[in-house]
Amino acid sequence: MRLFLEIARTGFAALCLHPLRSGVTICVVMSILVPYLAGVGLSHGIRDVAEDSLRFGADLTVTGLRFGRTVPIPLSAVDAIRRIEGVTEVVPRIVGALSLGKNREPAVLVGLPHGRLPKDVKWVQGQFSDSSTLNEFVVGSQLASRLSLEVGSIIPPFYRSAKGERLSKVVGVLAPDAPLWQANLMLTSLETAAQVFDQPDQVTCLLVSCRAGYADQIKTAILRTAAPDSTQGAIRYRVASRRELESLLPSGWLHREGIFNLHFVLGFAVAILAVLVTSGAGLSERRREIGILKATGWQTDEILLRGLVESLLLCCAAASGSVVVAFVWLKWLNGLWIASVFLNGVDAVPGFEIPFRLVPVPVLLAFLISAIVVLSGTLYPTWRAAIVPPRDAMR
Amino acid sequence: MTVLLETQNVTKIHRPGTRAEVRALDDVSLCVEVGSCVAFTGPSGSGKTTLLALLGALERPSHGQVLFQGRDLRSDSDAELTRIRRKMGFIFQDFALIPSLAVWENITYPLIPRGMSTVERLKLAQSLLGELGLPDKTYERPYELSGGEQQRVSIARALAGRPEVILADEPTSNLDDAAAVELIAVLKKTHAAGTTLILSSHDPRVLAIAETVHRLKSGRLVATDR
Repeated sequence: MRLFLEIARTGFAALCLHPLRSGVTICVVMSILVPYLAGVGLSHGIRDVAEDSLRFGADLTVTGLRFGRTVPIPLSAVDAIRRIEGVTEVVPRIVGALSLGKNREPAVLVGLPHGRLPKDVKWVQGQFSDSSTLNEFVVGSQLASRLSLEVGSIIPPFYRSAKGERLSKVVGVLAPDAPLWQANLMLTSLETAAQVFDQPDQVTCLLVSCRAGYADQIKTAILRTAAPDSTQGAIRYRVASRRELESLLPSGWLHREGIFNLHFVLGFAVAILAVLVTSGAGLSERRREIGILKATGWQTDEILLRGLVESLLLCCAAASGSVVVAFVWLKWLNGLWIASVFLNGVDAVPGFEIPFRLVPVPVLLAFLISAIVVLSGTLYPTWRAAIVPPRDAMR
Repeated sequence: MTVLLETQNVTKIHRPGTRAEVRALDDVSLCVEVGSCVAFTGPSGSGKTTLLALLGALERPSHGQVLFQGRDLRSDSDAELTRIRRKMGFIFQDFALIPSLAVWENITYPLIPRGMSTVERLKLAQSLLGELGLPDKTYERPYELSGGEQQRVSIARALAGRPEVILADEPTSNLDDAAAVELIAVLKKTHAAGTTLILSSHDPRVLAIAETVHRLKSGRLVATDR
């Protein structure tokens, strides 16, 4: 055992004796593992936020369909659905896309009934007024940052509707540490949203809350009905339960993660080549050293043990370093650049606190990948040098 | 006298079957007795280094036999050859020191697989360096030493394992006169202590300490002077 430890110690010493070789190998491995860990950690964080949003959302989400395409629902449908047995609440909502400012910054406008607007939640700086005042907005942190908006800012007319153009007022800014969906959000009353999109008495969806155990029955009842539309015939409903929406999440994230993983596999292949080149650059020195060791009485397995310890220490250093750097990247650098890979419309420097979660499986995978890269890059050349006659290795 | 090492019709061909094939040794037979001092000489390319490598089990012959203490090394595994090398000490023409290791580590690195502790190794290295006149070079790196000093470190490494035989390949070729004289004195002293010496050299001062000088030419043994 003492002999084993003594030989293992020489592996550790070898790591320190060749600082350039060790440093380059660690850097190459980290250059692929850090983006991988940061990307996967970010992906998990975003998925958590999405799942939380669904968990605390409505039991059923109702949208309108015409010719198989999504269309607005008349506001009068709210009362019809509210009368279905088991329905506890129906909240009409308008969600629409628009762009603001001379750079046409993309924003998501969400309109909710006045009573449903957040009055004073911890992540909103400012608040809606108590009375139903048109053209008051709470804006997301990234949007506020891009458009230099703050509480009290006046937004010049940015839409055209039948009722004319109006100035708008920012009454609140969402805090950067609020959930990520707020980044490009413009939250306002249902009436204001309807006016912005010039769609009076229309909403994009209805959020239905049900008594426990009634969701399926209510869904069936809603699907049997059709929304009255005085101008263009009836509108059919599409109803998605919370469970159905949850089941849609993984496919979306798996697609994005799949693209990310494909890039990672390419990076992985390049890293192995890079480590082989790094080892190759010092190969003659390593071969000669191994030749000297063999000539002076070191057995092949003892040389391999020394190389194995050196490689394992290198891979552990690279993988541990990667975990630390990935954490720093996500926590303190706030996913600089990489957040924009996963989140559409997010700047390279996100204007809000990005969600992330480093989970054990990718971390363990990082150690495994590191081991594969380092062992194939360093232990293999060591083995090749150790099996030739010492005189050949020393040449 | 007991025979320590013996070659029987040994031939060594480098890169066999290619256009670059070289017959480095051709049908060489000789024996080295325990406690003797044997030297090989001859022009460059005559096969001295190759013969030394075969006697030191650093490579295998293409044909013929090499026997160590009567044992034929032909059929020995790589591990068994390594065990045999542990009974030998090597002094290489280019010193073959590991540049990243301190002098004391270079001297005693071969003893790590033999189970010697770090403290014992350091003590042994300091003792050998004292005997060889380098007591203050323990923690220096080989590249900080002169050629003569590096060769003495190489000798200390060869002596550290208490070998039965020391094989020295052109030990004075990279040294100045003064260093060569010092080295020859050390070799004499080592031989006087009962260690078998096998040397290869052009240097008449080295050949002078040998009891037997084998002359090689184009890989063949052409003469033996006793």
